Amino acid sequence: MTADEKAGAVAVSPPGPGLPAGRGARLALTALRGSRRFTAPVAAVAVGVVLVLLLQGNGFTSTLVVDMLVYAIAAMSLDFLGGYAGLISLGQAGFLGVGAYGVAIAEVHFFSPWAAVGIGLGAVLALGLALGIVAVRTKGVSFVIITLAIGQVLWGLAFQWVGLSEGDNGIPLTILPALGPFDLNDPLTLRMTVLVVFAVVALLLVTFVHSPFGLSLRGVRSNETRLAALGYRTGLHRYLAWVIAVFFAGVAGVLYIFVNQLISPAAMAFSQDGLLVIMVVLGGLGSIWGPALGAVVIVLFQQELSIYLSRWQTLMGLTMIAVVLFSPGGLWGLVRAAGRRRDALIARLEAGQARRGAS
Amino acid sequence: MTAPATEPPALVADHLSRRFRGLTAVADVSLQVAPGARFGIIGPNGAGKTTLFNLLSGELRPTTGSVALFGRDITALPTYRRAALGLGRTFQITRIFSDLTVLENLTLALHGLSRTKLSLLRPWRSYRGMTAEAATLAASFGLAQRLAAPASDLSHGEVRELEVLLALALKPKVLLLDEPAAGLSPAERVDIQALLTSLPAELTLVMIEHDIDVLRGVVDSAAVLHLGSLVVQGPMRDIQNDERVRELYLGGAGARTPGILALEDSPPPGTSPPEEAGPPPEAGTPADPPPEAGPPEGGGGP
Repeated sequence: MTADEKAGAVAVSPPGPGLPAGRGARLALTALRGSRRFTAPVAAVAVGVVLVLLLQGNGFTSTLVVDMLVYAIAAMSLDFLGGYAGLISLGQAGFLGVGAYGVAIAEVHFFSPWAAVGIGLGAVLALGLALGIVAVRTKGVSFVIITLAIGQVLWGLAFQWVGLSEGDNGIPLTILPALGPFDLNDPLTLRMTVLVVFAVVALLLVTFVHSPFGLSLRGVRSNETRLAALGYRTGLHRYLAWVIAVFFAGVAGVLYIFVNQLISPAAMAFSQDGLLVIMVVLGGLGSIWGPALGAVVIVLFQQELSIYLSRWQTLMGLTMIAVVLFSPGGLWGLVRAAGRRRDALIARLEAGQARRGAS
Repeated sequence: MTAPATEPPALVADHLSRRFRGLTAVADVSLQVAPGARFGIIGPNGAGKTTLFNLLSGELRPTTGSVALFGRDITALPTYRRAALGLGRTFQITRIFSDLTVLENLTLALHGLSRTKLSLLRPWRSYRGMTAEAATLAASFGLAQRLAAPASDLSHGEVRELEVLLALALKPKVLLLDEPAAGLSPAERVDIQALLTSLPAELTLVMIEHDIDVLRGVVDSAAVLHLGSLVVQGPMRDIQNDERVRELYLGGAGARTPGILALEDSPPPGTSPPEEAGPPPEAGTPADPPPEAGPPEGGGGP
């Protein structure tokens, strides 16, 4: 045990040549304990600073970051439904499209930009409420298939209802909402707004999954029959989870059209649904933060790697296989495993300290 | 059997039948359980015991007949509404939340009848009253040290204990126990028997059990089912001495020991609970028992 403990200490901070081993272990312990307490805030601040710096420029990188944030919102909403309630949807990009088209079509029909946002979100909420009645009657593979069908119908409408959607060409959006000095037509304001909306959605979803309702969703996934016998109207819980997920996909859609200033059926295609599921699985199903990480990686592959490598999908596929094989919990699973290893190391160091103190 | 007019029976099954594609799993069963009674349901495999439970708790709808809880007709109510009216149940094939920890399992159960189950903005851990109650519940059954353990890490005995605790968390007025001691070691059976006898006297217990020793310690009256039909119903002493029951279990061998009922399908400790739809256990029973863990519960296998 003592050998173990020393090895652990050495691995983290090799004691200097004149430093007694006991002191090195103590220092390592202090550092590790500190890291346990401050990892999350320090990481959050660091990521925030990097994002703000990136978002200030007008170049390729800031566009990339904004795309990541928009897809991260959609991926997190999908994870809320799939990772917690166990309902994997293959139609989430469709609802992103509904949010975006709602804004665009409303503006085409001379609604003010703010009213257009309301109409976009209202449309996606109404559609979610209506389609949920059908969709959450099913589970498992049936649910995957029915959401795939819903997504394809929405895509088909965007593609073929030319009178409303202008078909394959899509609808451009020229004027974004503004309120006094807060003007989304200013690129910097828009990017900061995307960042803030991302943060709000992430915090809301994390709050939801730790609430009694979030616990009930995990219960639905784990054993729905038992949950019903405990007094839960399980269909209602699945329905609400669906509505929340669909609504946040719509939020991502509104940001999508603000950022791209164009919505076309391509954004709702089946490949987009698949990409969102890949983001969720790659990042880590059932972790909210993980799928955000997955969105960062996939958008990076899609937009950055594709410049240098025409077969970037091959590399994405290989990455996907590696992650699924070696870390079933996704990238976030690796983060969690690192945290557990640190806690185990702390426990071992503490045991060593206690022994030394006793002798 | 006749309860005073002021106090309706806790649970009434009135001419309940359930058919699965021509097979009659439960045939015209009528039962009455008085408030505070300890009632057992006995019968060979395929007798319709679990199907009867599913009809009482709402997992299945009867083909004909009705169910009443404290005088109120609950035949048309879904499971969650019956739970809210005070009808709790456990499952023969264990149904715990294996992806969740013991604490999460019990907290989920405690929120079941509270409006807080739809609360979105407050962490479930911050409901101190609930988590404390969950800890007390766990301690009442030797699971106090296992609160943080994932339910999938529990031993079979601990899983059966959690199964009962989940139902008790709702503080039911009527509790349906489907073979709570299935697959338990003799020591664990004593534990579960102690828990069952320590339950409040006003709680009505209806219990399916193969182990006549567990049953004898807990119930005062019982019903015997065979091939979906009620054979006999009455005080435990009468059941044990009933000629038809002995014939049913022993093929007319006429042995005197009532405890022989326990011979029927008591699994060795540590094995998984027996499936109701398993092979016919005895030479005396027909080769084609009605499928009990019937088709409607897709994916509910062990």
